[in-house]
Amino acid sequence: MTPNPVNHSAGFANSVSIDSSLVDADRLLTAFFQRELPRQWPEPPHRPCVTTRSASMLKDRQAEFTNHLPRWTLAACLMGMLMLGFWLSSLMIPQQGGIAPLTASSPPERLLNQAHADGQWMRETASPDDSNASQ
Amino acid sequence: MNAESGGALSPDDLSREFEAIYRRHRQEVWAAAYSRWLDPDLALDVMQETFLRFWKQRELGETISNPLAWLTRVARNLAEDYAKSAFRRHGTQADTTLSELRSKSVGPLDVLEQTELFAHVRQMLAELRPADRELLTLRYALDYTPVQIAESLGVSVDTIHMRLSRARQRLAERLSTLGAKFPP
Repeated sequence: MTPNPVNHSAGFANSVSIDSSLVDADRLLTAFFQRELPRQWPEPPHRPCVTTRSASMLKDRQAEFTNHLPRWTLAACLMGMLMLGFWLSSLMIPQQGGIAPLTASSPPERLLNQAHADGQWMRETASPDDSNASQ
Repeated sequence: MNAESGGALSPDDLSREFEAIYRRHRQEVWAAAYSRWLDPDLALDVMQETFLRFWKQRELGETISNPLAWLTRVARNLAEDYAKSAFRRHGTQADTTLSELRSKSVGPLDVLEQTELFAHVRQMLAELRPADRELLTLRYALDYTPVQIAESLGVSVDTIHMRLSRARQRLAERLSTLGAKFPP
C-alpha cells in the first residue's frame, strides 16, 4: 500500500480530511484489511511437535547407541558394582558382632582389664604360708 | 477447495498432505479468527492452534471429510473461547493494539491521519456482526470474489452482494458524518 497524500491544512479536530483514493469506502476497506493481513505466514505448526516420525527417529537413535556401546564396558561396570557391593558388605560385618570394632582405646583397655583380673586372682589364691614366708 | 482428508497415510504422506492443506486454507482460517476480534496477532495464534489440532486428529487417523469447514469451525470456537479467557477479561493489551500506530514508511502526520481513519473503520467493523466481518475480511483481505465467498461461507451470492453493499454504505455514512466528501 502506497501512502496517500493528505490535506494537512484541514486539521483533525472536526473533520477527517482524506485523499480521494481513500474516500472510496471500497478502497478504504481494502487498505485497512491489507494492512491487517500478516506480512509473513508462520510455518505449519506440527514441525516442532513430537510426531510419529520424530518418535521413530528417537527410537532408532536409542537402538544405535545401545548397539554401539562396547560390551566390555558394560561388563567392567557390572564387575565394579559387584566389588563395591562386597566391600560395603564387609564393612557391615563388625557392627553385627562378628569381630570387635577397631577403636583406638580398645586394646589398652582390654589389657588393663585383663591385668586387673589376673592380680585379683593371684591375691585370692595366694596361701597364708606364702605370706608368712615372705615376712 | 474442500478436498477430503482421511485414511491412514504414511508419516511422509501425512506431512505432505498437512502442509498442502495448511498452505491452501491458512488465510481463510486466519480470516475466521480475525473477524471475531479484529486482532491480527491473536488470529495468527488461533490459526496455529487450529492447525495443530487438525494435525493431531489426522495423526490419530481421523478422517475429516471437509477440512476447510472443520478448520473454520474450530477457529471460530477457539476465538470464542478466547473471549471467556481470563486474559481477555483482565489482561492488558499491547500499546500497538490500542493506539493503532504501526510502523509504516510514511511521515508521522500521514500516519496520524491514516491511523485516525483506520480507527473509524475498525470501530465500524466492530459494530458489525461477526459473520459480516468475516465476509469483509474474505473480500478485502484475501481478495475473494463474491462467488468464492459464497462457497466458503455456504450462503448465496446475492446475500454476499447485499451484505457487502450494506457494509460499504455503512462505512460511507460514518465517514461522511465526520466531514469526508465522497464521490457520487
